[in-house]
Amino acid sequence: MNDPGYDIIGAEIHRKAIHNLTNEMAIALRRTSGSPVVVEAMDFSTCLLDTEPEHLGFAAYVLFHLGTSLLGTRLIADMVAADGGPRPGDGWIVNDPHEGGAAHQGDVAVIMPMFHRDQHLGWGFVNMHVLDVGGAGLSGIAPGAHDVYAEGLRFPAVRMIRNGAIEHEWEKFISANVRTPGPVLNDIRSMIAANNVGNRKLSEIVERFGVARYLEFSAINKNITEQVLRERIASLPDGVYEAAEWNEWDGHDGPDSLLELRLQMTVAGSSLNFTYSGAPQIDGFVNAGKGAMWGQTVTALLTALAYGDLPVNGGLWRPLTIELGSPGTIVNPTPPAPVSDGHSEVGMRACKLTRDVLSQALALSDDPVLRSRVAAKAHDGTPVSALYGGNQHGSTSVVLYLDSPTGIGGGAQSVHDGQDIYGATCMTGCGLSDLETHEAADPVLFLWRKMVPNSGGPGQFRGGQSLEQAFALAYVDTMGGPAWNSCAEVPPSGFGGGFPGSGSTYYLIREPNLRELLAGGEAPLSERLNGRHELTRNKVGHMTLNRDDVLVFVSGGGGGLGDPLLREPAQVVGDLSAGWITPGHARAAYGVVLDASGLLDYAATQACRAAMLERRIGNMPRRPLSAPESVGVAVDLAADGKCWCCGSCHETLAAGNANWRDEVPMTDTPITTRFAELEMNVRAREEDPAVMMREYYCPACAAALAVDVVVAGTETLPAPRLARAGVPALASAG
Amino acid sequence: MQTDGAHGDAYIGVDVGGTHTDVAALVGDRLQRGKALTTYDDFSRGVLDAVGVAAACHELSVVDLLGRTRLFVNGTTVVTNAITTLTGSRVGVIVTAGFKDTFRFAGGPRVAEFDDHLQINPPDLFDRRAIVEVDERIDWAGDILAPLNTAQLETGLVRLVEEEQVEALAVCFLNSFLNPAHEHAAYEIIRARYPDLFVTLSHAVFPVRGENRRWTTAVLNSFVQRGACAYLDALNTRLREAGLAGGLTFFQGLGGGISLARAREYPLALLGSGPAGGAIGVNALARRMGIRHALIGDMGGTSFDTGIIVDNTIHIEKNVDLGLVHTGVNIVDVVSVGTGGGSIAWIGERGVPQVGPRSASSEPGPAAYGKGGTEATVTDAMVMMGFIDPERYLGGRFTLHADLAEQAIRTNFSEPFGWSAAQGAAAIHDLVVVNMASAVREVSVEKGHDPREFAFIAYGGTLPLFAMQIAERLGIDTVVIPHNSSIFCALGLLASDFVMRLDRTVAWSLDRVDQIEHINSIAAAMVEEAHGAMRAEGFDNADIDVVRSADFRFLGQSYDLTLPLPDRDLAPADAPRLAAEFFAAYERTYGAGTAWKGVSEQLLNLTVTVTGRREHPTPGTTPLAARSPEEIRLATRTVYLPSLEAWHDVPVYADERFAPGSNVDGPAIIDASDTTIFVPPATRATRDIYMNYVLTTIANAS
Repeated sequence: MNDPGYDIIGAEIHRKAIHNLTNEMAIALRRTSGSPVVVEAMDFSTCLLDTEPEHLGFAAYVLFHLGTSLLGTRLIADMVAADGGPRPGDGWIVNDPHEGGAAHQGDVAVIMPMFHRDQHLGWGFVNMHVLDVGGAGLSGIAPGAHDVYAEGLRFPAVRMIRNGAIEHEWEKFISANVRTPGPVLNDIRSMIAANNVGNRKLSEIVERFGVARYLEFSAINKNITEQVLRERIASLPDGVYEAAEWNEWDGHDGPDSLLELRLQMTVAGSSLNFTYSGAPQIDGFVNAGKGAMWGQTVTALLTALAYGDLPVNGGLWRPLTIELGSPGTIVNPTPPAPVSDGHSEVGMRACKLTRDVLSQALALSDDPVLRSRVAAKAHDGTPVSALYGGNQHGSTSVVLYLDSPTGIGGGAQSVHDGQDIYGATCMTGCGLSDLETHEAADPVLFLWRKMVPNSGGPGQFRGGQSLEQAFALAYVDTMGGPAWNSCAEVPPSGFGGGFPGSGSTYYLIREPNLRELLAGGEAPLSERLNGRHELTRNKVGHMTLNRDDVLVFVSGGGGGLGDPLLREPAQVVGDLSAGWITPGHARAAYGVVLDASGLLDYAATQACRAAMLERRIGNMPRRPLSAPESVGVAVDLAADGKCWCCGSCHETLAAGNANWRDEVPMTDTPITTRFAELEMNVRAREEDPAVMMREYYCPACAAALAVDVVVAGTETLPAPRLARAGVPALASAG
Repeated sequence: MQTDGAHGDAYIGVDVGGTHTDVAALVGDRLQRGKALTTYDDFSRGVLDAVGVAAACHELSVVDLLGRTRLFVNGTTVVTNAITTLTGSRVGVIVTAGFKDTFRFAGGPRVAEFDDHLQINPPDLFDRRAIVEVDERIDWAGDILAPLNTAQLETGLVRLVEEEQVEALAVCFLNSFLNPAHEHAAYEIIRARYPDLFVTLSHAVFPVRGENRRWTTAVLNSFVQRGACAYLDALNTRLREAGLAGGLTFFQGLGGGISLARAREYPLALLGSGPAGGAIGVNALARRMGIRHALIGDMGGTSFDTGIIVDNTIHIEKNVDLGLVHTGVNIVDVVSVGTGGGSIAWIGERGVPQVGPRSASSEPGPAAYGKGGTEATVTDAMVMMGFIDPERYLGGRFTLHADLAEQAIRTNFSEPFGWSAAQGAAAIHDLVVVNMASAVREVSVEKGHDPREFAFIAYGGTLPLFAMQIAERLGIDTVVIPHNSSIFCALGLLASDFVMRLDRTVAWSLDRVDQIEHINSIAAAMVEEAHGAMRAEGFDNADIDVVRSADFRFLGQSYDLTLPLPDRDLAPADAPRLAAEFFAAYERTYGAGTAWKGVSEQLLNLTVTVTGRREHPTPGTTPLAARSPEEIRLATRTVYLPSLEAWHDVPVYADERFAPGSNVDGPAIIDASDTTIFVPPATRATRDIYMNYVLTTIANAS
């Protein structure tokens, strides 16, 4: 390292100032918006882009907006370049996934140019999930829509803000088209206010540095970020890494289909290419537009690789290319495909695919810091309803509780168990609302809120756990609206021999004995509540709740990391005594047995684990089970690249240019069967194909090498194809 | 100056900090300092050690000093420590059936960070087996839906005490802030069976909507109880045995004192009491000096704390978060960043220099300590550049090694950039100043205040070296370095009153004028409760001040703005007036056109703050007797000035010769026994009659 030839301290001071700027925009938005979607669930983002446009700063809330802000701002910058450039006080509203780079129509962005005196210096981007944008759904998400036209208002990039205020005609237009005009318009005003705060701050910063130095430091900081990310990428082995996922769709009265999508990630030197492919687009809201795909890809990248000393700015995009394949698929839809939940359907599957291929590559890095970044998939699903109707105060309520999407588990990490109530990977900082707040506002009575037992995927490090909550429609006769849920049947897989997390679901209890229980002095808990259980489809265009009907949401957990039999029995006993797992799960997943007094039965546990290991490979293992040197690196490539070997006992598994999965013992079981043994939740499918759990084990020590979640009939998932292992097409390219 | 200390009444302020226990002992109008190491096995020993030091300075025995002490005020970190180290009582929790996992959910633990390794679960404040769920339910309107199952409660209670061996209980029922009947009933049952068991009822400590904070606050109060009460009782006993004659008061993070009895009941109130003492002291000082708006700075070995005073009112942060633990505690708003004298300079992965938050603390300490530290710290940079005299550090108590400081900076910081050691030291200086200025910005600009209207009042052993540079970055033109800077927190305690604060959720829509009598009756009950508590502390009505305020929001919002209320019953005409005031305050805060339209304004929470005023000892003054710079001048030192990027001969002035009314122009250094002050170029330093230094930019100096 040498004198970089510029004022490095000045550049760092500039970076901190920009960081403060985007945070102050976020503070302004949170304080002015009333929406719990912003204040509790933190479903918003604020950022600053320069005139390129490239990011200078980004407040860490909804991470996929790193993608949508780039696409939306580029679009506007191109438009105004042909039209004499931007003017101070102008602002655009963007929410169109097809034409505006938005993630979904419910996420409305306000993009405004930022000026210092008369000089255009960049763009402010503020985005939040508003309560409604009209259409067949509610809050902009419409499981019942067959095309994008039924999904509500679309703003491809519409200049409706002049002189810093939204034009009156547009207010009238929006008011006429949404169910909750007051809050929606207030939210737009809040976004304008946040942009104004950002511009004021920017002026102060430029005043302090002078324009020339401000611009110089902007460029320097982007370059430094690019350089660090490139160094990290360069430590990943060159090659092609591939993963598969399936998006669930049972809407419009079926059939219950599983739509395949795949990702190939190519590491070449210090660059990463992501190439997606997917099933043909469908007439349901799962298709993910470019904003959702780019955004969810970069989301997984950020949580895995933006650690330590790596500020997020436009430099981050430079080593990346993202390709979405030919148009007309679920990963690259064209109008009239509906797209209103694309960000959390196909989009969240894309996030999981990216996490998967990154873990595959990280596991094979020579750098121990990068190896420690392997992780299981987070749950990444959205069990939620959006009900609309009168309330006990004589006004109207929208019951759109992000509690259950927030209540999903995180993926297990190499340094700790996955986080409980982690929310979707893309939603950093999300919080869980107090039910006392819900009850004060809406006609609901909460009956329980509890951690779902056995919800975290088993592993040496366990997946994050999830929330179950139930509320009754206690104070009005009826409410109705859509409901949806994206991760019920194909739960998130673990990594490095870790097991999948549990699935999400929801159901109704009609005409329950709620009043009888209360009158008798008994809390209406799940074990006491009787009524007609009604399991609806996962995507419901409209459901009606009648007085006292109960809606139960069961969120799912994150995947586990590493073989569960490597988890210390004492930790398993700790989870048992805390009530996080059941005795049956402790035995089936971890081989841990308690004695009659509830303490660890060491001998029985040893015997149980030995029997499980033998059952895995059909004979007595030749070597004892031991932990791999790096947590979660269950399969390693020999230093010379010639062969794959077991991360635990170093047994040679296969040639380096072959697929080791083809060479090792494997069990292939319907996931419903396996999860029944494990006492874990997964929604059973009534139609073919089945979802399978494929467990791969080391032939010598019986360590779990990988546990794949695939649709029946899928070809064996490929191993990484590495230049170092002499895979021909790559050896020359690498 | 009056010096008949031997005959005057005494007032003692003691701040038990993480490293040192500081004493400010005022006898008559003569102040002496006492400092001792904090003794973690028995905090009272360190307190008496420090009192002993101060007594000796007064040429009194400890018995003599305590015997003439009218008031002994104590600030302590014991509660803050219990929480940060997670060492507390074994707590049992009784909770509404169906909701025992609320504590683990903790309102959602995900933090706004990219890195998944930073996403962890909240700490367990109690064993999960020590939770009892009880059938009972109160609804959103405060009506009882299901009665309390007392038999179930009793069985669970016995299990908690007999099997789980809990030492304290928290009772946490849904909507108890609206109707506390079930929590009260539970209390009676517990009292009847276990009269000595410590119990916290959630509505009693935080009667505000939102079960996560309310319940967590109740659990925390029981969690800190054992350690806090052991501390309180030991200190009380030892001080009484040692002859303390006057009152003993404990200082709350809210910025006022409470009695021993109340502190035993609500020990959580002692959270954050140390930094609050400094803020009270700054406010007293600001009033004396006629300063209305002040920003506060305190720099220690590992951190920099800052806060704000507007119109001589200290900003109180409501509902403090301690990492992932969300509380309903209100404390003096202090932002703390990891920047202190021991903060380590390092080079990040981007090749960009950084300072802190990692600290060399006191072991091994900065390289200049010569105790084996090899990393470059802030102190090393200031020694290297000549700001700190190695021979006079901490009053000459130990000698620093300038050569080791230079070597650490050169090897670990400067050389990788091709800089000289001095250039590296200057970079450390600049980064530290930026870090502290950002924190000051956070408490001022980000809350809507313009720092240029403020004076910066800076104390602590190290901060006077940086105070003016921080001020310059924020456009502040006046800096005050208080007399006795190093024990300023302890001194501040002497300026404190008794304070209690009550909050209650009422959720009143201002268009419902018909509910005004109901609101008035709640407010009246709160005022009466607060008054009663103050009278029980021995205050006359004439010495009790009541301030009412309320949190307002537009119906449906989740954040609120606090506005003052008149100290009387509200009349129907007040409703539209308050609505208009809130609307105006909202647009002032967030910009014209941002207020919500067509939505009713809501008064969510009522707050009653009651102050029991007591006499404050006032420090003596020293008459003006200006001396010329030449008379004060001690020496000349060669110092590397970061702003000029050059070595410069800088005059050094002697604190003891710096009589009130004197002034010197920068660049200059003032060596005091407990701190070193740097006066940058184009700055004038003046001393006032209270012996404070006032630094102003020359353009504004008169």
